[in-house]
Amino acid sequence: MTVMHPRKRIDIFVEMAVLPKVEEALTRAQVTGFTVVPCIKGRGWSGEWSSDEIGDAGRMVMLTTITRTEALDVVLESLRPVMQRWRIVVSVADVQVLRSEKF
Amino acid sequence: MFDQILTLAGANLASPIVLFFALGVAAALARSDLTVPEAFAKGLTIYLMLAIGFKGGVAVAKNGVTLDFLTTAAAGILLGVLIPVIAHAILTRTRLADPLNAAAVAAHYGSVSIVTFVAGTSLLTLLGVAYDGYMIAVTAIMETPAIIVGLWLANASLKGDERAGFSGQLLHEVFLNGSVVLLMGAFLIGYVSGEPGMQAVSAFVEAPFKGVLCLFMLDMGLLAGRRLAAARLLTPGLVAFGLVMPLLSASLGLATAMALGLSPGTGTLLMTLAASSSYIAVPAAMRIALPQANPAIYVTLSLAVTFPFNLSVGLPLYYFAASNLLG
Repeated sequence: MTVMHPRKRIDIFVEMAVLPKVEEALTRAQVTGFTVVPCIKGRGWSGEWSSDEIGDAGRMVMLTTITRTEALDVVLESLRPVMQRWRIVVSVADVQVLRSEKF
Repeated sequence: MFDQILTLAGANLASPIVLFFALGVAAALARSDLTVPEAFAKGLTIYLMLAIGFKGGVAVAKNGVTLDFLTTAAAGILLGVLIPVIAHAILTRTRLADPLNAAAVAAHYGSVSIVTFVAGTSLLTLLGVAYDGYMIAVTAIMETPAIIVGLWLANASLKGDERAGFSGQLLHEVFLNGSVVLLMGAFLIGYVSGEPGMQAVSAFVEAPFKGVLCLFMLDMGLLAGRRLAAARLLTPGLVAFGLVMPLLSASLGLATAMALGLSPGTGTLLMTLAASSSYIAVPAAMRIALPQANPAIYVTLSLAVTFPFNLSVGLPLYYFAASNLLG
C-alpha cells in the first residue's frame, strides 16, 4: 500500500499588486516552494471582478503552497500583517503527499 | 458659436474611435460575449505606447528641447498637485466620499489618462490642428505628482501603521510601470533617431495607428461597460462629480495654457490631460499603498464615468474653448 504523508495546503487569494507582500511573508516564514495561478472571475464584498482589468495590478491570483503541519502557525503568523492591511483570503486544508521530502 | 460646438461634437462623435468605444459599451451592457483576448489587448497597449512615444520624440527632435517644453512640464506638475487637493476638498466637504476614498479618487483625477490624451491628439489630427510633440513627455511627467499628493491627503486622516508608506514596491510601480517605461523609452528613441528613424518605421507606427486605436477603444468600451453594469457603489452625487470635475480641471488647464501662451492645439492637450483621470497607474499604486480605499469606487468612476464623458463631450468642448481663447 502506498504510504501518504499528512501536510497542510495554504491557498491565498490576492491581487497581483499585493502578491509581492505575500511572497515576502512566505520567505520570512522560510517557505521555499509555492505556485501562483491566475483567477478568471469572481464576486466579493466590493462586487464582481474579472481577469479583464486594465493593467495587471487588479488581477486576482491564487498562491498555493504545501507545508509541514508544525510549520503552519509560523506561516500564518508571518501572513498576519499582510492580512490586516490588504484584502486577501487565506484558507488551509489537510492534504496528503506522496513524497514527504519535497514538502 | 453654438453651431461651431455642435459641428465639433458631431465630427468627434462620428469618428470611428468614439463609435468603437460606444460599440464596446453597448455590447458589455447587453451582456454580449464579445471580448478582446487579454494577451491581444496587452499587445495593442504596447503598440500604442510605442507609436505615440516615438512620434512625440521625433517631433521634439525637430524643434529641440525648448523653454515652452520646460515651462509646460512645470505647469503640468503644478496641475498634478493642485487638482487632487481641489477634488479631495469637493468630495469631503460635500460628503460624497469618506476621506480615504476621497483621497484615492482625488489621486486618480490629478493624474492623467494616456488613452484620453491619444484620443485628444486624434481629434486634433482629424481637424488638422497642430500641437507640440513634447506633450507626450508632459503626459508621462503628469502621471506621478497626484499619486504622492493623494497619499499625503489620505495620511492626514490615518494614524500610525495605517498610514500609506512610500515603499520600494510603490515607487517601483509609480516610476517604472510598463506604460511609463515604454512611453518614455519610445520617446527617447524617437528623439535620438529623429526624422530618418521615422522614415524607417513610419509604415509601422503611423499607417496602422488609427485602426489599432479603434480595436483598443472597443476593448476600453467593453471594460467600461462591464464596470458600469456592476457599478453598485456609485451614487448620483459621485457620478455628478465624475462629470463636473473634468470640466473644472480643464478650466484650470485652460487658464494655465493662457498664462503660458500655448497654441490652441497644445492648449487643448493640456486641458485634456488636466481633465483626464488615470485608470492604470494610479489604481495600481492605490492597491499597494491605500488598500482601505475601494477600487469599485475609484476605478469605476474614472473608467466608466469620466473617460466616456471626456471622449464624447469633453474633447470637442476643450478644443472649442482653446481655439477661441488661445493663439
